Formats: sequence, C-alpha cells, structure tokens
Amino acid sequence: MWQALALRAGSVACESDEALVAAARERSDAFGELYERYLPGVYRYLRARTASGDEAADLTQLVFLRVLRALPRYRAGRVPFASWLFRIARNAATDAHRRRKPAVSWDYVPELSTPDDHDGPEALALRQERLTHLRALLARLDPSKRELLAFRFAAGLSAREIAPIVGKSEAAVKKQLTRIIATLKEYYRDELS
Amino acid sequence: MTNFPDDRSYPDLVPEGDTEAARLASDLDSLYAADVPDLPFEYRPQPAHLPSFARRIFRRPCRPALAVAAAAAVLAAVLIAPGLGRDGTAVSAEEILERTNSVAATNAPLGAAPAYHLVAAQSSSIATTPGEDSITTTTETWYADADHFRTEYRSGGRIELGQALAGDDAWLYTSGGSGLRVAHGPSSALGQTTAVGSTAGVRSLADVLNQYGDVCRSARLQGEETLLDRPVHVIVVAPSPDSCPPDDPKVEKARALGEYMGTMTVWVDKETFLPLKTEQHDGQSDVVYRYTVVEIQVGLSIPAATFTYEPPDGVVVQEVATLTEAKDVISGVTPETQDETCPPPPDDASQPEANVKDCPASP
Repeated sequence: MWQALALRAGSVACESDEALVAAARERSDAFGELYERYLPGVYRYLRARTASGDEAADLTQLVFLRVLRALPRYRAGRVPFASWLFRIARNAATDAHRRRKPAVSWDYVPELSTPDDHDGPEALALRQERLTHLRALLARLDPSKRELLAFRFAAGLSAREIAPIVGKSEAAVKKQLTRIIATLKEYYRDELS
Repeated sequence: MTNFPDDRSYPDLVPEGDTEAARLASDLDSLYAADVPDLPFEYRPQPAHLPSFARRIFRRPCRPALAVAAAAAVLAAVLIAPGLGRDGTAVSAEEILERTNSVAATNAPLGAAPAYHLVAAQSSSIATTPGEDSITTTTETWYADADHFRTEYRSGGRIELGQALAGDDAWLYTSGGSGLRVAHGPSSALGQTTAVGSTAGVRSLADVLNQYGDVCRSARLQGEETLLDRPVHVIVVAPSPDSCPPDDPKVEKARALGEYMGTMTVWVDKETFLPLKTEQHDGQSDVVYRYTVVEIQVGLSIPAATFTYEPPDGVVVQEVATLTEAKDVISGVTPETQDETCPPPPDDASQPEANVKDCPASP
C-alpha cells in the first residue's frame, strides 16, 4: 500500500486523476500516467484475490484495458476515479473467481511473502510468524471484511474511495475498518500470547 | 519494491499511542504488499503484434479443468489478437478469450455425440464495466465426428472466430475490423484448438454427474424437463466444501469458494449429453451467465462441403504449419507487413517506452 500511495501522491502532485482522465481521452500517454499511478494498487488488490501472480498480472492487464475502453463513460464528480477503477477491478476479479474451478484462492487473503530483512534474522523470524498468524486470522474473517482490508491495504484506497465501491457511506466504511482492526488486534494478541 | 520508513501510521484507523494496533496495521501492510511485476501496458488500436498478456496466456494452458476447456482456451488465445473483436480492438479480443473459455468449460459436449447442428446464445451480466449491458454472443456448430466439424463464434453479426476441420485439413478464420483473414494448415496443428468434439467418454447420467462434480463440488440430478422438444436432465452443481476430505489442502479454499460461488444449473440432453442450457448464479441467486441452445438438430446428415472453408473471392488463404503461424495470420501479423517501428514488447518488459503505445496499423 505504501508503494501505491507513494506513487499516487507523487503523481497527484502533478495532475489530478480527473485531469488525467480528461487528457487520456485525447492522448494515450496520459492514460499511461494513470496506469503507472494505479498499477501497484490494482495488482496488489487482484493478487489478494487470485491464486497466482500470473493470474493477477493477466487480470491487471484486463482491468486496464477495460478502464481504457470505458473511459469515455466515466463522469468526473459522481465518484472518485479510484472508486470507479476499482469497481471494474472488483468486477473482473469476481468474474474470474466465479469461472475458476475447482481451484480457488483464499479470496482476499494475500499470499505470504518474506518480509524485508531490516532488523536481522531473529526479528525477521518473529515478523514472519506474526504474518503467518495474521494470514490465518484473515481467513477466518467474513469475506466482506476481508474485502475492505484488501481495498484499504492492498489497493491503498481511502474510506472515501472505498465507500462507492461497496455501496456504503464513508463514515460506515471508516467505522467498519476501525472495528475490524480492533477485532483483529484482539485475536492477534491472543494468538501471539 | 521500495522500502519505506518504519514510522508508518494510520491516523484514520489506529488510535494515537496504540502500538499494538499500529503494529497490526503495519503487518497488514506488509502482508498485502505483494511485489508488483513489470507490466508494460500496451494499447494499440490496430497493433501489429500480440500484446504481452496475450503472449503469456498463449504460452501456458489457461484452465485445463477439462481437456476440452484447455483446447478451447488455446483457440480463444488465438483470438487475443488485434482487430478481431466487436470494435476492432485488442480489448474485445480479450473479452473473446473469457467468453470462449467460459463457454468451453461449461458447455463442451461431454461425450462422442451423434452428428448435430446447433445454434446457441450466451449472455453474461457480469458486466465488464459498471453500467455496461450484458454481453450476448452466438455460436453455431456443425458436428459430424471428431474429424469433421465447424464452429463459428459470432458477435454483433460478425464472425469473431471460425474453425473448420475436414480430416487432415483445418481452417481458422475471422472477420474482424480489418477484414477477413484465413489460415489453413494441418488439422494436427490447427485442429487441436477446437471446443467441440470431445472424446471424453460419457455414456450415462452417472458419467455426467461425475464430470460436473468433484471433491469439493457436488452435482446432483434435480429433475427432468423438456427443452426444444428434447428430454433433458436438470443438474445442479453446487459448491460443497464440507464434502472435501479433511486433510485435503483444497478444503479451506473450497470453504472460501462456498462463500462466494453460487450454483450452476445445467440442462443436459439425454441423448447426446450436450448441455442445452446453462445458468450460473451468483451468491444472491441472480443469473450472471446464461448459455442457451436455441436450435438443435441431431442425427442429421451434414454435407461434406460444410467442413471445408471456402473463402470469398479476393480473400487470400495463408498456408501455415503451426498454430502459432495461424495465430499470426488471423491477427494480421506477417513477416511482410510487420511494422518495424513497433517491435514486439521485450520479454523482460523492462523498457519504460513499452508503456502505452499507439502504433500505426499494419498495411
């Protein structure tokens, strides 16, 4: 998420999403900027919903192709561009999820990867253990809650951007995310104690 | 991946001073922070080369849950070529992949069928974009035996892909936005792409149920009906994670599946075991995908000429030896017409200029 936010923050400083959308309708390079801005978030969100990196990569390409195709129909001001884009990503992932059979990933539960080795092997091992527990905890959550976490942490979306995707108010999304964090924290403490 | 400082905070989620919550948020962040591969995005309205994602898909089988589905996926991959879709862009070709793959996976004949001719319509309300209408396409198939058949996949009155097979000869053809393109070659190469003529032996209802069900998915006979004046078995396929062996690694995945997948209902022709209708439901029981045979004749005598493709006057049939060559032909790529200003994207995809491109059309 941090990478996604960093990319987005850097780009937003240059041009807003809406400005880029308007430009992308005229120039393909402007769409390239949107692509670079949202690629990390879209890929990570889809990675949490797919069984493999390859599948996530294919879906990511598909999502952006659909976005490009649908761009003329996007109406700025109704919903944030990020929400509109991730609605397409969500549809694509759900579609792929339905068609995938019989092997299906843990939807919205990311694969476990090795964390960065900042603090030496011992700290790394502890962190790895925590992440393993955390992943198991996520699998126990209701899918709708996992979806919110994926939008927040994988896609890097704010509550305001998530709200139109899931059809709730910004306040409701924020409240639910806070509750999920609180619940997870309790589980987390129990698991690790 | 870029490294970020450890003083991450989530002021909207984590109360100030709550170190446990902060650590949890940080761990969630790490968990979801998958490495993002280099994915150059290419969009060329009339490109001269297959986009990278198409090449990746073409290199590996898509979802070989059924042998027929895998074959159809290859067929569909042939379609991931520019200028073949409804609007002549790579986007619609990609849609074809999805639809063809889906159709093949769920509607392929399950056994050696008698000669038949059928016309079917597919519609999907799994919208490609919010607010977009459902996709409707049709398929027409003439089937004599595993070596003689022809199938055409149409959308908007246009043949998005056709395949004809007559013994050792096979043709692939398409009438995309750039006109009709035809490839002819040995059926040993081009005939492997068919979505019809499965040789999987299904001779009874039990075989059908066995084919649709698996360890974590149950198929049961719900009843019998009549469709198109033909008696059919009505089969309901539902996720059944509880039936998975407890030590099977797929159990947890199947449980997740059970939370998301709705049931699929299939109306299977009693005589031929061809699906005459398929409905995929989502978790709320809405039909999100429907395949319906609207016309079928079984046991008819199909003229041999049906399986030999005769191009219209003026259309050049390109001779090919492999499926890859056929793919290039129907996507408009030939050594003579290749546009050197638009080279194929590198496999390592590391060149920044490989992002959005707008290459000129091939001559």
